[in-house]
Amino acid sequence: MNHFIISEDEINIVEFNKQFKNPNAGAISSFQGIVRNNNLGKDVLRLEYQSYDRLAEKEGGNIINEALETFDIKSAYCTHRTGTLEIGDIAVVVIVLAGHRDDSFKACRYIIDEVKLRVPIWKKEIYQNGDSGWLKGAG
Amino acid sequence: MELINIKVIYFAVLRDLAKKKEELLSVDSGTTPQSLYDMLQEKYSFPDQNTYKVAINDNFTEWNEPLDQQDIIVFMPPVTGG
Repeated sequence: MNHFIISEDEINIVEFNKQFKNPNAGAISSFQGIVRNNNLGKDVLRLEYQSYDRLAEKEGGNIINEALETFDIKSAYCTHRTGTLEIGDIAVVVIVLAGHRDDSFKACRYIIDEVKLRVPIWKKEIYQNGDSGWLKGAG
Repeated sequence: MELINIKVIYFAVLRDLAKKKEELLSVDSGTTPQSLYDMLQEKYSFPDQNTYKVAINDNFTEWNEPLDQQDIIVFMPPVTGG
Protein backbone atom coordinates (compact mmCIF):
# COMPACT_ATOMS: atom_id res chain seq x y z
CA MET A 1 0.00 0.00 0.00
CA ASN A 2 1.00 3.61 -0.51
CA HIS A 3 2.06 5.02 2.85
CA PHE A 4 0.91 8.56 2.04
CA ILE A 5 -2.61 9.01 0.74
CA ILE A 6 -4.71 11.97 -0.34
CA SER A 7 -8.41 11.29 0.12
CA GLU A 8 -11.73 13.08 -0.08
CA ASP A 9 -13.22 10.54 2.31
CA GLU A 10 -13.82 11.27 5.97
CA ILE A 11 -11.10 9.85 8.22
CA ASN A 12 -12.43 7.43 10.82
CA ILE A 13 -9.60 7.35 13.31
CA VAL A 14 -10.63 4.04 14.89
CA GLU A 15 -10.79 2.27 11.54
CA PHE A 16 -7.59 4.02 10.41
CA ASN A 17 -5.65 2.78 13.44
CA LYS A 18 -6.97 -0.78 13.11
CA GLN A 19 -5.09 -1.19 9.82
CA PHE A 20 -1.71 -0.96 11.46
CA LYS A 21 -0.47 -3.75 13.65
CA ASN A 22 3.04 -5.07 14.17
CA PRO A 23 3.98 -7.55 16.92
CA ASN A 24 7.50 -6.02 16.96
CA ALA A 25 6.18 -2.55 17.72
CA GLY A 26 6.04 -1.57 21.38
CA ALA A 27 5.07 2.02 20.60
CA ILE A 28 2.57 3.72 18.36
CA SER A 29 2.58 7.51 18.07
CA SER A 30 -0.08 9.36 16.15
CA PHE A 31 -0.97 12.94 15.30
CA GLN A 32 -4.32 14.30 14.20
CA GLY A 33 -4.73 17.74 12.67
CA ILE A 34 -8.27 19.01 13.38
CA VAL A 35 -10.25 21.83 11.74
CA ARG A 36 -10.61 24.55 14.40
CA ASN A 37 -13.10 27.40 14.52
CA ASN A 38 -10.68 30.33 14.56
CA ASN A 39 -7.49 31.60 12.96
CA LEU A 40 -5.68 34.93 13.35
CA GLY A 41 -8.64 36.44 15.16
CA LYS A 42 -11.25 35.40 12.60
CA ASP A 43 -14.15 33.02 13.18
CA VAL A 44 -13.76 30.12 10.77
CA LEU A 45 -16.88 28.37 9.45
CA ARG A 46 -15.21 25.62 7.43
CA LEU A 47 -12.14 24.83 5.31
CA GLU A 48 -11.64 23.81 1.71
CA TYR A 49 -8.52 21.85 0.81
CA GLN A 50 -7.12 21.39 -2.68
CA SER A 51 -4.25 19.06 -3.49
CA TYR A 52 -2.04 18.40 -6.48
CA ASP A 53 -2.69 14.72 -5.82
CA ARG A 54 0.00 13.00 -7.88
CA LEU A 55 2.87 15.16 -6.66
CA ALA A 56 1.44 15.31 -3.13
CA GLU A 57 1.44 11.52 -2.84
CA LYS A 58 4.92 11.32 -4.34
CA GLU A 59 6.38 13.98 -2.01
CA GLY A 60 4.47 12.56 0.97
CA GLY A 61 5.92 9.14 0.16
CA ASN A 62 9.41 10.69 0.09
CA ILE A 63 8.81 12.12 3.59
CA ILE A 64 7.69 8.74 4.93
CA ASN A 65 10.80 7.11 3.44
CA GLU A 66 13.04 9.77 4.99
CA ALA A 67 11.47 9.05 8.39
CA LEU A 68 12.09 5.32 7.91
CA GLU A 69 15.76 6.00 7.08
CA THR A 70 16.32 8.56 9.84
CA PHE A 71 14.56 7.02 12.83
CA ASP A 72 14.44 3.56 14.36
CA ILE A 73 10.84 2.83 13.43
CA LYS A 74 8.96 -0.10 11.90
CA SER A 75 6.51 1.73 9.64
CA ALA A 76 4.73 5.05 9.15
CA TYR A 77 1.59 6.24 7.39
CA CYS A 78 -0.10 9.54 6.66
CA THR A 79 -3.47 10.47 5.16
CA HIS A 80 -4.55 14.02 4.25
CA ARG A 81 -8.11 15.07 3.39
CA THR A 82 -9.17 17.29 0.52
CA GLY A 83 -12.49 18.94 -0.24
CA THR A 84 -14.78 20.70 2.23
CA LEU A 85 -14.13 20.08 5.93
CA GLU A 86 -16.26 21.21 8.86
CA ILE A 87 -15.12 22.30 12.32
CA GLY A 88 -13.90 19.26 14.25
CA ASP A 89 -13.14 17.16 11.17
CA ILE A 90 -9.78 15.41 10.97
CA ALA A 91 -7.74 17.03 8.18
CA VAL A 92 -4.59 14.94 8.51
CA VAL A 93 -3.46 11.91 10.48
CA VAL A 94 0.04 10.47 10.97
CA ILE A 95 0.74 7.13 12.61
CA VAL A 96 4.17 5.68 13.41
CA LEU A 97 4.94 2.20 14.71
CA ALA A 98 8.27 1.69 16.46
CA GLY A 99 10.01 -0.54 18.94
CA HIS A 100 10.16 2.22 21.54
CA ARG A 101 8.50 5.57 22.23
CA ASP A 102 11.40 7.95 21.64
CA ASP A 103 11.80 7.40 17.91
CA SER A 104 8.06 6.98 17.36
CA PHE A 105 7.47 10.49 18.78
CA LYS A 106 10.37 11.98 16.80
CA ALA A 107 9.33 10.40 13.51
CA CYS A 108 5.71 11.45 13.96
CA ARG A 109 6.80 15.06 14.55
CA TYR A 110 9.16 14.92 11.57
CA ILE A 111 6.46 13.67 9.22
CA ILE A 112 3.79 16.24 10.12
CA ASP A 113 6.33 19.10 10.04
CA GLU A 114 7.63 18.13 6.60
CA VAL A 115 4.13 17.53 5.22
CA LYS A 116 3.15 21.06 6.23
CA LEU A 117 6.29 22.46 4.56
CA ARG A 118 6.55 20.44 1.37
CA VAL A 119 3.42 18.63 0.22
CA PRO A 120 1.39 20.57 -2.38
CA ILE A 121 -1.88 20.99 -0.48
CA TRP A 122 -3.66 24.32 -0.04
CA LYS A 123 -6.19 25.47 2.52
CA LYS A 124 -8.94 28.05 2.05
CA GLU A 125 -10.70 29.43 5.10
CA ILE A 126 -14.37 30.36 4.89
CA TYR A 127 -15.30 32.78 7.67
CA GLN A 128 -18.48 33.36 9.65
CA ASN A 129 -18.80 36.86 8.15
CA GLY A 130 -18.97 35.49 4.58
CA ASP A 131 -15.37 36.33 3.60
CA SER A 132 -12.93 33.65 2.50
CA GLY A 133 -9.28 33.39 1.56
CA TRP A 134 -6.40 31.07 0.75
CA LEU A 135 -3.83 31.01 3.52
CA LYS A 136 -0.50 32.53 2.49
CA GLY A 137 1.89 29.85 3.75
CA ALA A 138 5.48 30.27 4.81
CA GLY A 139 6.89 30.71 1.31
CA MET B 1 8.84 29.81 -34.58
CA GLU B 2 7.61 26.30 -33.79
CA LEU B 3 4.68 26.00 -31.40
CA ILE B 4 4.33 23.37 -28.68
CA ASN B 5 1.12 22.23 -27.03
CA ILE B 6 1.10 22.17 -23.25
CA LYS B 7 -1.38 21.88 -20.40
CA VAL B 8 -1.42 24.09 -17.32
CA ILE B 9 -3.27 22.95 -14.18
CA TYR B 10 -4.26 25.56 -11.60
CA PHE B 11 -4.65 25.23 -7.84
CA ALA B 12 -5.68 27.47 -4.97
CA VAL B 13 -5.48 31.22 -5.58
CA LEU B 14 -4.40 30.68 -9.19
CA ARG B 15 -7.50 28.56 -9.89
CA ASP B 16 -9.70 31.27 -8.43
CA LEU B 17 -8.04 34.01 -10.50
CA ALA B 18 -7.98 32.03 -13.76
CA LYS B 19 -11.54 30.80 -13.07
CA LYS B 20 -10.63 27.38 -14.46
CA LYS B 21 -8.96 24.17 -13.30
CA GLU B 22 -6.76 23.72 -16.34
CA GLU B 23 -6.23 24.82 -19.90
CA LEU B 24 -4.45 23.75 -23.07
CA LEU B 25 -2.10 26.32 -24.58
CA SER B 26 0.08 26.57 -27.67
CA VAL B 27 3.28 28.42 -26.88
CA ASP B 28 6.57 29.12 -28.62
CA SER B 29 9.21 26.41 -28.28
CA GLY B 30 11.79 27.75 -25.87
CA THR B 31 9.09 28.85 -23.45
CA THR B 32 10.08 28.23 -19.83
CA PRO B 33 7.89 28.07 -16.71
CA GLN B 34 9.09 31.60 -15.93
CA SER B 35 8.10 33.08 -19.29
CA LEU B 36 4.82 31.12 -19.20
CA TYR B 37 4.03 32.43 -15.71
CA ASP B 38 4.84 35.99 -16.80
CA MET B 39 2.37 35.64 -19.66
CA LEU B 40 -0.34 34.15 -17.41
CA GLN B 41 0.29 36.78 -14.73
CA GLU B 42 -0.46 39.43 -17.28
CA LYS B 43 -3.59 37.59 -18.44
CA TYR B 44 -5.08 36.70 -15.04
CA SER B 45 -3.45 39.17 -12.63
CA PHE B 46 -1.61 36.36 -10.83
CA PRO B 47 0.51 37.30 -7.79
CA ASP B 48 4.31 37.52 -8.02
CA GLN B 49 5.83 34.05 -7.92
CA ASN B 50 8.96 34.75 -5.83
CA THR B 51 7.92 32.14 -3.27
CA TYR B 52 6.24 29.74 -5.71
CA LYS B 53 7.48 26.36 -6.92
CA VAL B 54 6.83 24.79 -10.28
CA ALA B 55 6.38 21.22 -11.50
CA ILE B 56 6.57 19.72 -14.98
CA ASN B 57 4.93 16.30 -15.43
CA ASP B 58 4.59 15.75 -11.66
CA ASN B 59 8.23 16.57 -10.83
CA PHE B 60 9.49 19.69 -9.11
CA THR B 61 11.62 21.59 -11.59
CA GLU B 62 13.49 24.82 -12.25
CA TRP B 63 11.90 28.01 -13.56
CA ASN B 64 14.29 28.14 -16.53
CA GLU B 65 13.69 24.57 -17.73
CA PRO B 66 12.54 24.66 -21.39
CA LEU B 67 9.08 23.17 -21.94
CA ASP B 68 8.49 20.24 -24.30
CA GLN B 69 5.54 19.12 -26.37
CA GLN B 70 2.64 17.80 -24.19
CA ASP B 71 4.21 18.93 -20.91
CA ILE B 72 1.87 19.43 -17.95
CA ILE B 73 2.84 22.45 -15.85
CA VAL B 74 1.69 23.28 -12.33
CA PHE B 75 2.57 26.49 -10.49
CA MET B 76 2.48 26.08 -6.72
CA PRO B 77 1.93 28.84 -4.19
CA PRO B 78 3.46 28.18 -0.74
CA VAL B 79 1.74 25.07 0.60
CA THR B 80 -0.65 25.26 3.56
CA GLY B 81 -1.64 21.67 4.31
CA GLY B 82 -2.03 20.22 7.78
